[in-house]
Amino acid sequence: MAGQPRYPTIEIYKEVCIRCGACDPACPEDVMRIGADGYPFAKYTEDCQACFLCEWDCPVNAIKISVHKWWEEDQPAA
Amino acid sequence: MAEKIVHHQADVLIIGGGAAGAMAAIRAKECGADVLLADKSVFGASGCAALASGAYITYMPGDDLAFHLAGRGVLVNQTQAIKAIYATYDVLKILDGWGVRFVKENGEIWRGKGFSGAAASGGLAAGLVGGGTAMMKVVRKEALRRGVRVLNRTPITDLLTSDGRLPTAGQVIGAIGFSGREEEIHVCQAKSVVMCAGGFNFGYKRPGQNFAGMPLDITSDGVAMQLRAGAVMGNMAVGSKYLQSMEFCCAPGIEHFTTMGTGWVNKDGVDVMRRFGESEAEFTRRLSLGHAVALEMLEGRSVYLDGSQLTPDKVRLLWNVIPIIMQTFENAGYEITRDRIPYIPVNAATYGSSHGGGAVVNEKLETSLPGLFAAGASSDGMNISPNLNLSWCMVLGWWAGEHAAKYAQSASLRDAMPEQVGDLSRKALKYLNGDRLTFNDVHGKAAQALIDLGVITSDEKLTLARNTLLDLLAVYDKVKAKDRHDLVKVVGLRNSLEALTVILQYLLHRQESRGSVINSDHPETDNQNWLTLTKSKLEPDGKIKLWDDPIPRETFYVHYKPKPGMSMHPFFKVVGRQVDAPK
Repeated sequence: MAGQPRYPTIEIYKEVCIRCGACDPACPEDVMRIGADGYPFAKYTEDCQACFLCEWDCPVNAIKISVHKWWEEDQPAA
Repeated sequence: MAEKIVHHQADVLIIGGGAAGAMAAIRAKECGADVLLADKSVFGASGCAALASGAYITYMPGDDLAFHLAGRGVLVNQTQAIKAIYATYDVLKILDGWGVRFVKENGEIWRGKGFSGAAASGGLAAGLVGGGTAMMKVVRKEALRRGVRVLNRTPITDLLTSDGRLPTAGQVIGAIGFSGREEEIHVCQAKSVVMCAGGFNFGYKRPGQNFAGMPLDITSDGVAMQLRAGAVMGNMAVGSKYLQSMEFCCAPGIEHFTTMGTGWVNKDGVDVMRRFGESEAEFTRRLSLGHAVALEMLEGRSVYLDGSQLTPDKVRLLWNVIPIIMQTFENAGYEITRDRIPYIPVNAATYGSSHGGGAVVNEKLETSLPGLFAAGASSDGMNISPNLNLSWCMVLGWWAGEHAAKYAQSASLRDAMPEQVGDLSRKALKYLNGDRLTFNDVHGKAAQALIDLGVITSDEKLTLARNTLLDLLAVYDKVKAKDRHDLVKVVGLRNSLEALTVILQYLLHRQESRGSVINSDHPETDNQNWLTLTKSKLEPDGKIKLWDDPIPRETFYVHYKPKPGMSMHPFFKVVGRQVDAPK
């Protein structure tokens, strides 16, 4: 059996973030928003397709996208 | 309605900011037009282009033209294809001049035969350092530097027409959309409009999964808008299967691995391409890879990418040109030269960066509707190829921008009819006040209908899927968007469903297996009755009319003449052989 499919994980390191706002327009899927405190947060995590554009556009490496292996072994596909 | 109506005027309106739209905008601006570009996402990060692999398929002086034409299939307008092939080099020089970085060897732009791309077997591609992502950043900068005005996060929902009707008997005078962030309706008046809103790809991403198809936002908005406006559409029967990783987002450029020294194996380590011939094992096309994977699946096996033969040089090259997928593998803990990575084929019909189904355009990139031009995957690409890759989309965009700017010089701005603006605004926003259905309800059912089509389809399966989608469209008004972000998705999904029902209508009409369309009821490719292009148009009575236009042989068969007659589809040739083989 295959494992359970999993969303990508989006981590934002506030202690590193300089609140430049570059990650919001970097996202093609409109996942990121800038909060009232100026820090970004992932508002629509379920739409993240792990393209890494926000991570790559962040000037200070304050974002980490993680994708997860879940496929465990061969199985007949539909 | 609390919505603010924002009015815009431009000589040329470009809908969509991918590769075609960006080039159209720049060229129209260079030709003296005032240009407005509307992007559903963010110009430079949206569409296929920004996530595309860095394979820029290009001609270079001294190349054998026939090589570039080879393998494009029989339904190709070779006269236009030859022009486009030469133009890929012109655009390459323009990009190089702007500072787009190509992989170089001894100071010269390097090309790899490994970068076949989609179904074309004659690919020689330059490598974009940093993939489409890096290229689009440079192109975006060039557009902004020239004064192209941009509306980001503003999905255009419909075309505005001189008679206020969809489908129209008049001309296209602009377009209407809404802001994905603010309570705003955007009404754009333009002397000419260039549709560059991409092709069709139905993202398979479902709750809990971390993969999709090509970007989720490639929902055939351009195809659907042109359908509704009554433009003549064509080539939408050119279906495709498309491979994606089981676990991750789509893998733009995965076929590039094949000639880099990788293979496609089943769990027993057997090279699955060898069943389709030695040449396919050496130089796999996405098309035949789809066939091979389909056959393995039929026999109950998955297919894996096997990169154990990749040299460190090739690994470095792949990091340069397909950084997204390399990072995905690494990030998930796969070591490309050590681990096998599972893949599945996906029915994507006509879609995204590598397809040529859309509005029929002439050599000026004009659609059948006055004032409307189309380029990239929203157009049929003048039938220069069964599939449009990155460089061809850029060439088409460049030409469309030029012709749209010229058209605008002798056209004038027309006021949109208030009734049409009102109707289309309400239509776009009504899902905010929807009923009980959610995006996930409809998406899940539609995705299942596509999965049920199977890798090997049949007339019954096609009919069933089409009926399911028509049923979903019949209740679509009940879908409720949670917020404006959700509204963008809901409107996009509706466009996907509308386009897909028409694509399925085409597939049923063709009654043959061709390319990646494998239909067990019609196992033969029919070059006897079907050396034709299927076209369609939405009639005022709401019905889609389909017809076949004969292929003008003098323009289509310059270098490659198809054999008229029936031939067994390559997939069934292999399946048939296997059935006949002694146990």
